[in-house]
Amino acid sequence: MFYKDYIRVLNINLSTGRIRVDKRKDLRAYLGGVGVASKLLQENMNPDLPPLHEDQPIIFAIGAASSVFPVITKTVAMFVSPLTGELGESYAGGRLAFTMLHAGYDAIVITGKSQKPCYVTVTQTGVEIKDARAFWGMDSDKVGSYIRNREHGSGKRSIIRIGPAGENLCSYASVCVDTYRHFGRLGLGAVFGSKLMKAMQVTGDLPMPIPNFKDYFKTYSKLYKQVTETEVMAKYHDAGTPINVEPLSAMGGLPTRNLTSGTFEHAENISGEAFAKNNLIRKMACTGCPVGCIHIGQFRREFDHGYEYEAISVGYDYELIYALGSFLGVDNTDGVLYVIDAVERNGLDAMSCGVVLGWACEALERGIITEEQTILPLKMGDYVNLAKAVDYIAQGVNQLYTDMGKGVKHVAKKYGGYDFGMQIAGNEMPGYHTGYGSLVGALVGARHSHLCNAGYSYDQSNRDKELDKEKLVDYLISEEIERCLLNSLIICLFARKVYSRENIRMVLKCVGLDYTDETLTDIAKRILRTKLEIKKSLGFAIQDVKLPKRFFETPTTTGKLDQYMANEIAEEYARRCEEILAEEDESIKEFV
Amino acid sequence: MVITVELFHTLKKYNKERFKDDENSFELSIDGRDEILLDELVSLLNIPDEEVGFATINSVKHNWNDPIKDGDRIKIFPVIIAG
Repeated sequence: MFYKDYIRVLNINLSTGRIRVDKRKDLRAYLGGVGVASKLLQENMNPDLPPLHEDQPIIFAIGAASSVFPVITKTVAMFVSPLTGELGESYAGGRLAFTMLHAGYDAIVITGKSQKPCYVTVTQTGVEIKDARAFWGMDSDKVGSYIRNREHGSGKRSIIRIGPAGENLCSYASVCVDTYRHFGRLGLGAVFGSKLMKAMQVTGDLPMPIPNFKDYFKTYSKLYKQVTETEVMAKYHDAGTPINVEPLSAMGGLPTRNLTSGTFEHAENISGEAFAKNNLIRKMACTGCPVGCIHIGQFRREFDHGYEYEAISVGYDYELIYALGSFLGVDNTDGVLYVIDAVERNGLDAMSCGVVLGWACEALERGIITEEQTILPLKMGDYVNLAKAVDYIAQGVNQLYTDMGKGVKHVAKKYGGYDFGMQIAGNEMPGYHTGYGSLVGALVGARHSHLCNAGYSYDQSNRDKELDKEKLVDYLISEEIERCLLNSLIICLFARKVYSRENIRMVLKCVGLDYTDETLTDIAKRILRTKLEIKKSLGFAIQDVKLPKRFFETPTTTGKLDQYMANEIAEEYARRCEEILAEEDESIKEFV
Repeated sequence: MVITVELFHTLKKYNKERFKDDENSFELSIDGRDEILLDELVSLLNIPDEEVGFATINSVKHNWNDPIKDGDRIKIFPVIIAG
């Protein structure tokens, strides 16, 4: 909490209904956000049990300066991932961080399993576990609106919920946060489902007095100016990340048709500009963000043949356009939004879902699976049938679709086509086929995401240069460490260039934490060490990862990659991780 | 020589006066030259280096020291953004 020397943790046990609040001074050594959440995950998880066992926890955490400075808007969720079987880490914006702050909790730990479908309401005065049997089976948008009408607390509240995919324990089910944001990756939705928890509402009204308002206002104004007046953030507001579609395609780095190519001949038709022209209706912001990068697009859908049309609004972003557009050969903006809507309703991760469907289209074409199994004549570009297949995955309508709901690694291992099931350590690939940076970065990254260490960015900056293995490993590991710090505050990574070390120290000083650069680096390393320990305890080893061959067949923006070289870089990174794990953590004593 | 230049997204603002209404590209005449290098063109258009991601000549990606000839169509893209 601000100006306090402890982290306030709310513990909810769904099996017993017991609620406990802890004030943990020792957790200050992890600053907040991903640091605190990692430590709480390590304390509460059981590495010997499966990810969806009721004794496995869900952790939510916010940072030391959440919501009171611009663009510090996110909440982290940590869990044991049902998709990869190891570290589950996912971030979402919306209003959740703001409401947790005003409810007075730095972290929430949920354990156990409800006896019947439930939803949880959290306020500053208590927690209630309520009957959700009437909501079970509902789409994630519908359940949000029902809870909104049924519960008090308009304004300062956040409603997070799952759709049918989470209920049916689909391994990459997401959790929808306030309609347009998500804990998307690695299957938090399934962990909700395994606990029979449909939703959680957090409401908060606690005042947050700021003792030294003058300093706070000065710091806030400086950061606000940087965020709103510099070029850095304008891009995110204007066209948003969809502006990547065309350049990546032209460079050969846009995963297309199950990564058979890095160039999509219809990229122009699904570019940021095409969406802005055809579909964009509004832009929104997470609470505490002056930028507004959430782009909402609208399309028309016929209720049924010969009937009227309804207007559907969905959020779109680069990753969604890649996974449900170019990766599936969908060549128009309405078609992409049509599939995004199916993914939203069912509560799935868009990237994983797109990659699984990409495998299915190719596997059917090659005769590895049959149309009897797919029920539909699944093929690239046919967005209506692809959207139907999304429903089938979420519902697990037959054995194939149930297996597709376990992720592309699972399904490709079982049916065949491992070499074109595009996953990295069990997580479906991100939308950057740019070089060793993006591929090895996702492989070695703690959560196998492009956001762990931004390897794509290294590829872009070093595109015309000879590969320097050492330099790449240095970059990946230092970026991973620095992002542990940013994610312990949970700054939206779009603003990472605004939040330099100098600015971070200024912000922390305003909330009563006067840390040196050295202390911050120690904290960041401590967080990475904790994550690496968790991964190790869950059986993950970089050396065990077998990448699908297609990564090495389809040229990237920097040319074709060599499997042995990728392994060498990954092994060097693994060696550096062992060094970090072996380091003595002397400075933790300052916090005990 | 005369070439066609297409600037994407945020790069447009550096050459606002060259664009006609509703057009994404403009023609550029460069007197007294038979060819010009890609990075020379970027400087000529007053686009800061750090904002340029890459460029294509006639839809094929090229290095900065590759030459542009009369009649070529050049696309210049900003750097990739993500979290």
